[in-house]
Amino acid sequence: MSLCIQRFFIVILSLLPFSALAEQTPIELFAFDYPPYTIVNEQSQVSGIDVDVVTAAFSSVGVSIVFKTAPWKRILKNLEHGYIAGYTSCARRPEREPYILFSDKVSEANQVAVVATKTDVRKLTNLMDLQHYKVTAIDGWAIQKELTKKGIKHIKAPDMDSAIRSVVFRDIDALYIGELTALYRAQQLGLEDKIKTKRFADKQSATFYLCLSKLYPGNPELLQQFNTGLKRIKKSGEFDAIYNKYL
Amino acid sequence: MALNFRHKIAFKQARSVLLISLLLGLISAGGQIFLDYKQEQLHLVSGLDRIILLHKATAVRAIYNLDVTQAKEVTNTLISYPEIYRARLIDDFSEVLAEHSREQAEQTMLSLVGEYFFKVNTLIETDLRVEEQKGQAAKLIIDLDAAYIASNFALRAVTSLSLGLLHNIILACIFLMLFYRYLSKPMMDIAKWVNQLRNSDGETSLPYTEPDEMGDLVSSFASLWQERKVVADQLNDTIQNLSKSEYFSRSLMENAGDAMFLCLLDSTIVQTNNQAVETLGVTRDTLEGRKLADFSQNYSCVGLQNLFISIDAKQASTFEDVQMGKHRRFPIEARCIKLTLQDTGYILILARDITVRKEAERQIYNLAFFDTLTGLANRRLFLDRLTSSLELHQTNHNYGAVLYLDLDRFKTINDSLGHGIGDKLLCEISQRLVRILPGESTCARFGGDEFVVLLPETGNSLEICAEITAGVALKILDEMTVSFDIDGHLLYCTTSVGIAVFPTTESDGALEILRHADTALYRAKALGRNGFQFFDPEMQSSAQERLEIEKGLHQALDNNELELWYQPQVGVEQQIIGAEALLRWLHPEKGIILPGDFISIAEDSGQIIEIGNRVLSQGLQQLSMWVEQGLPKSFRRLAINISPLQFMQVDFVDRVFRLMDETQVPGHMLELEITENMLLNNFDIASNKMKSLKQRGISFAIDDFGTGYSSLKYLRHLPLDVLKIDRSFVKDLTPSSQEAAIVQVIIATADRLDLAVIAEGVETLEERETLLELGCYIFQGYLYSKPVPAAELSCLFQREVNAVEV
Repeated sequence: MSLCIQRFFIVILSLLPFSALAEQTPIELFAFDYPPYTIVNEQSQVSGIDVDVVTAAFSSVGVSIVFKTAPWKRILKNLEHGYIAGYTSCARRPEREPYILFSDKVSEANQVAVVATKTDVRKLTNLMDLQHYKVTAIDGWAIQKELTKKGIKHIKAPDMDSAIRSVVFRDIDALYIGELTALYRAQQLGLEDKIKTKRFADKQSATFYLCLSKLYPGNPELLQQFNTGLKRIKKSGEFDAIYNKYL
Repeated sequence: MALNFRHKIAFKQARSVLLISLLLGLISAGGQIFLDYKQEQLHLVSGLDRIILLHKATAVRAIYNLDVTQAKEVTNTLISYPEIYRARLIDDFSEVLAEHSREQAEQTMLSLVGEYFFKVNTLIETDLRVEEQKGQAAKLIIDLDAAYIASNFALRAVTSLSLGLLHNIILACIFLMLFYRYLSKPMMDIAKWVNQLRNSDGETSLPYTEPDEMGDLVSSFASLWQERKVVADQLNDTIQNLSKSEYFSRSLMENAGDAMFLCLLDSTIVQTNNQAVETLGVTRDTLEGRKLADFSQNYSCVGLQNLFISIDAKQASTFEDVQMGKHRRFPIEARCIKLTLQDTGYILILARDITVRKEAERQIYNLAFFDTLTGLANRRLFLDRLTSSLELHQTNHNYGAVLYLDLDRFKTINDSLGHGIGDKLLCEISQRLVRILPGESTCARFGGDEFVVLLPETGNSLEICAEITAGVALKILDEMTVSFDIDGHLLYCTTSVGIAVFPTTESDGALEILRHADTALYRAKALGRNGFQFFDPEMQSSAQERLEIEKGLHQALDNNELELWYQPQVGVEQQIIGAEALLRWLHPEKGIILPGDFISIAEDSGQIIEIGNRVLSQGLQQLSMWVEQGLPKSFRRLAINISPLQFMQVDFVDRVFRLMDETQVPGHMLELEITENMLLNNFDIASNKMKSLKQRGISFAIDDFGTGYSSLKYLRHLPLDVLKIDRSFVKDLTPSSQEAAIVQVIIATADRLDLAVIAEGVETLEERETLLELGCYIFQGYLYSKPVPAAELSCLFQREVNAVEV
């Protein structure tokens, strides 16, 4: 009798991990408001191109994910400490290498000068040409720091909206910012007709990746799965469909 | 009367108020500080809570966004609060997001004290909940400035205490003033007033008239003072009068000519006067407090106390004493009377120095009773002593003698050499007389060259007395033959002595006896001077004879003139049973002298001891010789007479034993004859000696039994063997004579006591027959043999021995 009960329990216990795998909790990923790649609305709902791409890629390999949002510095620090699995999208920089696993390219962005439509941009070819313009950049962002690094005088804008507005309505000549971001935001503000973008000849486009924490358990496998999924959706055309949906 | 400020009531009251209020203030301030301490802690905690709450949301936001700027704003704001000197924001990654600090408040004495009492947690950590927090909780850490908080608290405490102290001091000062004004000041006024009262005679105004307790006290005191003052004035007058009276009495006492002593009944001197101090030569301090007996020669302390007790309060008593001062002794006549002062009994003694009077009395006495030239007694004193001696005879029956001396040819010396030499000769003679006369005698000078000597209690019989007196007279005569050296003159001055022995008759008076002596003196002078004569001619010869015997005995002992003869004692069968040794003095001029003529003289002069020892020695030697030569079988023992004086000699027993050892004579052959009188006087000693001698076999015979105090006691208790019936009972004894009855009793007694009986002095056959009839079987007397020299008895022994052998 007792032998029978023992066997019963062994069967039940052996089934448990399997069923857990079957009912896998969604992997938590983070994103912050960087339209159109990642868009966080008032209710903290996360969407955007990269969000959709990542979701689709994971979905294609059977991994369910969920997105949350947090301040940028917080996300980065959580990654560093391995408190969260990962976030999207982020640029690849040497100081991040020690603690981040970078996926295959998710999206790319061109750093451009956003100017008012009427602005003459013929002399604006290279990045250093910005020296001759009244430039702004959003305080704290990587590209603002790039300006500082390169010694290009600029005005720090507290956020993207005020930065776009300052270009359209104020005496700011150019906003140094990601191209898609600026366009998406201008669209949101209804100012898409009042601006134009100018790419720099000497400026490569910036590439964005899904960044996974090296310290978070299971992440190398997750990275593999993602890359696999990404390839799949690129192949299937789902990837392009997502881009079209936003632009 | 000025009081030290510290001793004033106002000060004491104020000091008490100050101390009490300080104590109460300290307690209340302590309570207040404790409450403040609790309040401060609460206040601090709640204030900090408010501050943290105020900045918490901002801090949380800054941490959420990891916004350093915002975080620094928060910490910077926090340290602007004075109680916070450092603030830190730690994010949920345990990294310091922002930190601000400033210098802490300076450490002061106050803050140190405050810190000691005011314990507070200076590190406050507040956990901050951050959205989507993955690591540890973020923290807001605040460091409090303990020194600031403590000094704040301490300052309040010190302020509270200081104010309390100030309040109390002011209160005490106010009380001091009030007490001074309403209590001390009035009391000092009253005290001053009281002091003034003592010195002032008249009325003084009251120092305090308020209708309160003090006013009441002052008025009561004032009235009491007045009453007492009246009484005191009266008392003062009385005392003044008394002291005058005392001074008068004192002066009288001090200036009295007699020494005065006021003593307690135990003779302790309480008070004396100048005269007492002067006469005794000690200070007044030394005198007072000591016992009067300390200065008395005749009275002990107890003696004086007994005398004092007998003294009457009404009648003064008088006694005489000798007081011993420091420098001299002097006789006093003391008059004393008893006094009672304040329930204590005293004796007042007036002691008058009577040295002069005593000296006068002594001179009068000397003049009255002594010869002024020689210092000897005068006629009056002599007669007085002689009368006393006569009276004494009535009780002790001793005889005395008066010797009347007259210097031969003194008149010639006086006339030829002058009265000066004569007087000196008389002095010299009187000194010689005093020197040679017995201590108890009285030597007097009746004037001129007449000296009279009284020898009281000289002998218990007239004969002995006469003999001793004759001896004294001879001594005087002898002394006078030595020349006198007076101022270079060698003078020879013989004297004649007339002797009267008293009393010779009942009616002899002193003057009668003196006259007898004087008569005897004239006879002595008539008989050729330088000799003595008794008033009674018989006595003269008797005394002279005795003197001669005594003198002759010395020669007899020196020249071995004493010899032992022996009288045999025979039994019924005529056999010689024993012999008695009898002493014979073979005087070269007078022939044989019997013991009866010289033994009593020898006993009086003490020569008997030597004579007795010789008798004992000679007797034992003779016995020894006889034993050697051979004695008849019937011979039992040799009897030797022992005088009482000899027997009582301490070494008598030893002497007997030694002689027995020397002569090898066995004890049972020796019989000692003793008299009843000897036993009577020293029964115990005699008994012990007899028992000792008896142990060596010596037997004892009672000599002359029946003539003395025949006591049956010693017959019963002493180790006696033989009774010798005295010759007076044997002489002319017939069965019908009165003596026969006595002899019968003696024999019966002896039989009963198992004693042998020997009859002495048996001279006739009738006597022998009668004795035989009465039961006496041993005889001694002329009937058988006279006492014979040893040689003759030896022949008798020899004859008897031979007869037996035949």
